[in-house]
Amino acid sequence: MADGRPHGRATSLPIPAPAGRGRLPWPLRLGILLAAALVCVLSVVFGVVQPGIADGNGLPWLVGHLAALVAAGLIWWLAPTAAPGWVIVGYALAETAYMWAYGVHAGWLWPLLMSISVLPGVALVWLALAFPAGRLRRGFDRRLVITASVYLVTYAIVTLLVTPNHVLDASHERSRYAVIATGDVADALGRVHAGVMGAFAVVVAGVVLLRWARSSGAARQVAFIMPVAFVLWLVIGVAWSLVRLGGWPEHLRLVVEDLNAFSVVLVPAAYATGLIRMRTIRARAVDLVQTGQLSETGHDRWDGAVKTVLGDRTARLVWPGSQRTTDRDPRGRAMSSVGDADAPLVYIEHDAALLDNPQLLRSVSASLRIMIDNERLTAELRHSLREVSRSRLRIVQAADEARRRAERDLHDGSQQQLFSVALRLRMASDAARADGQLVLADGLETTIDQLASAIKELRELARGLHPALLAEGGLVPAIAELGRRCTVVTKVTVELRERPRQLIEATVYYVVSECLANVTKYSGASSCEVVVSDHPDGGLRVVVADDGVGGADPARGSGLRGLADRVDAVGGTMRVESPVGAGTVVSIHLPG
Amino acid sequence: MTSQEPRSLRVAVADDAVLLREGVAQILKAGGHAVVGSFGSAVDLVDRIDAGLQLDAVVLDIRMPPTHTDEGIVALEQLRASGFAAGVLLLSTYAVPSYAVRALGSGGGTGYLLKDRVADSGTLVDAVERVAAGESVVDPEVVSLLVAERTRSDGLDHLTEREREVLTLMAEGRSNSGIAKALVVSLKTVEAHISRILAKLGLEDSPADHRRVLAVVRWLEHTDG
Repeated sequence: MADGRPHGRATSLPIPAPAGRGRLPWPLRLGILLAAALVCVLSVVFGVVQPGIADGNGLPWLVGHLAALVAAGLIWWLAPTAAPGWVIVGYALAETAYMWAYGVHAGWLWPLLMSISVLPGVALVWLALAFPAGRLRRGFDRRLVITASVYLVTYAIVTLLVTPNHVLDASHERSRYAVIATGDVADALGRVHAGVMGAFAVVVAGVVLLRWARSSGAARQVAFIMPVAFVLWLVIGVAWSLVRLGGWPEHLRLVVEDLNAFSVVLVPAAYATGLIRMRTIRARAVDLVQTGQLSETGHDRWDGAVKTVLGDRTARLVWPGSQRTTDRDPRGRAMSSVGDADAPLVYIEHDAALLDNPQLLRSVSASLRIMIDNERLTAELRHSLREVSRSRLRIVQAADEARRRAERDLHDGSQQQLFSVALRLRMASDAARADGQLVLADGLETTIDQLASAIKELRELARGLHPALLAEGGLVPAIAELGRRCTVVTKVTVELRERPRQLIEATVYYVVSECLANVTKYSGASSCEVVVSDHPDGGLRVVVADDGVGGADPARGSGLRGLADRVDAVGGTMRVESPVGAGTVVSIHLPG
Repeated sequence: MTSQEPRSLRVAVADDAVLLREGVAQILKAGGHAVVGSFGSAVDLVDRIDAGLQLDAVVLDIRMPPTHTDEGIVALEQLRASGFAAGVLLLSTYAVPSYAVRALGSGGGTGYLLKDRVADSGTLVDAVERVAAGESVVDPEVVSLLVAERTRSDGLDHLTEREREVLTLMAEGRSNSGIAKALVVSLKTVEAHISRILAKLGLEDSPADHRRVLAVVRWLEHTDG
């Protein structure tokens, strides 16, 4: 398990297309069900017409079988496979043969119908054991059903051969298939058959109950009420067999007859409600996504949510690459992988019983996949955002640094050289004047004047790059200087407990400088106030307020937009209030 | 002007730019003064003075290593604190009024000049001689910045035009006679202007010239004062 994949073969659960609901189109399914229902109704109307038959009233029988057909319809609609629906329809039709056998008197037909009617019991056994997958997963179950089928077919053939007369109705023709004249053998066989079926029922009920008692919570969740329905059906069936052997009070016999008729619906109904319940359990997978959104850190809560949704307290997530190995008995455990089978995002270790509810596993798998993708994308997004703002900060810092360096170079290099050149020219002109070379002296002085204005321009350029005053004295003199140079009367208050970082200082200077430039250019204000102070929430606050025309819109003016960018780049926030005609207030909060 | 006598001053120059330092030295020499010290940093200058170097005046660049900020002013403040009484002329690349106020606040015989000025005929030598004589010198550009700004904020309407001219010259550190000479009026007239200006601004006259300069510059600098 070097790759962290725990033992056992992982079942891959790719995200499936919506589960197929049988291969037949729904109008055909509906037609089949309606036809089967019609056959049931007609069998009662034309089969059980004569009074005094053993089963008396056909109504409970009809109700039970119609209800079973309704269940078959539901199962066809809900189940991924069509088999259970067919089995129920087949069951109902085969049982119908028994009813027809009362109404059909022809000696060639009624024995066939009668013998067919012994077959369908095995259908319900199959149904109960195949729930909810729609097929028999255990070898034992398969052997059980095959054995019962072989036995019932054999019995049906034997009965056909040994039953000369219809059970109770003398008006029927003699069976054409009977090889013996009397019904004694058939009666004796019937008793044996009842005993065999009783024993078989006890065995199957025992197996099912034992399995139920030993199964896990997850398995019980999947099996739901099926075992109860199945055992109940068997018990009623056994009771009915006993009743048919005779020697019971009449009213008790009738009750058991009716119960038996109704009981045919038990297993199909349990099958259908089980499927409905699985569907509602699947809906819980949505809760999983909510859990994923709630828990920002760690996956511990995912584990809990998966346990809850699967109804399996032993379930857990195994992340690829983790060295966690299971300490559980691998038998009865299963691993389902989420995402691509070759490179799963995560494994779900769970009770193998849940494999019977593959749609639930797929839903959970799909939810987990969404959660993991979402988490991954969110992390990537955050990462890139962080990177972008970092790189923007770096750009601002680099630009700042470059300006600072350029100013420094100008100051230490060109400016000083120009000063000393001017100085030398001055000495030369003084010397020339002293020598009486007045023309030369005048020429030199003109040069000095030109140089002086060049020096002045260079100084303004350098000041624009990075104010020396900011570097030298910090914000207090630098902002005061800005206010002083502004053509609108500006009151400046700078009150800071300590000098901010270089970057923040430069930002404050840039911001105030830009704001004052805007005030000068656009506001038409008569006065302006600049306040730089410590922000009560940390960092510092810059407010530039004027009494001008207002109406400044950061969305339009590129100046304000650039300011906002600059503020944003260092992690600050900016607010502009500029109602038309009521001045402009720019408030900025910068980190410390 | 009080420094009519052709006394040769002992001057030291401190500037990290060698060319400029030497240029200043030559100008001073040409002006008849002795440059007895040339330093690349303020710290070296202060050390030599502490070690007993006798000087009449110092020409000091403000922005020098190691921090390239306000070393010159810091050195000035240190020197004054240790009783250094000679004249100190600060040189600055940029016109920064608050520096002028800070420099003047350290005591008399202090000047604040833009470097552009060193090439003006006689300005540097004149400024050095004035600070050596205990006068104050403030660069005209700094003063005009202050006056312009003050005019914006309260209009200076209560001063006549002539009074404003006098105020400007006062702020530059001119003595009464210097102002009289510059405006070509009599000393008496200047004195009359000055007392009216001081009364209007609510400032007290002071026998020490530099106190008057400081008061005027401070008044100019404080927009809301």
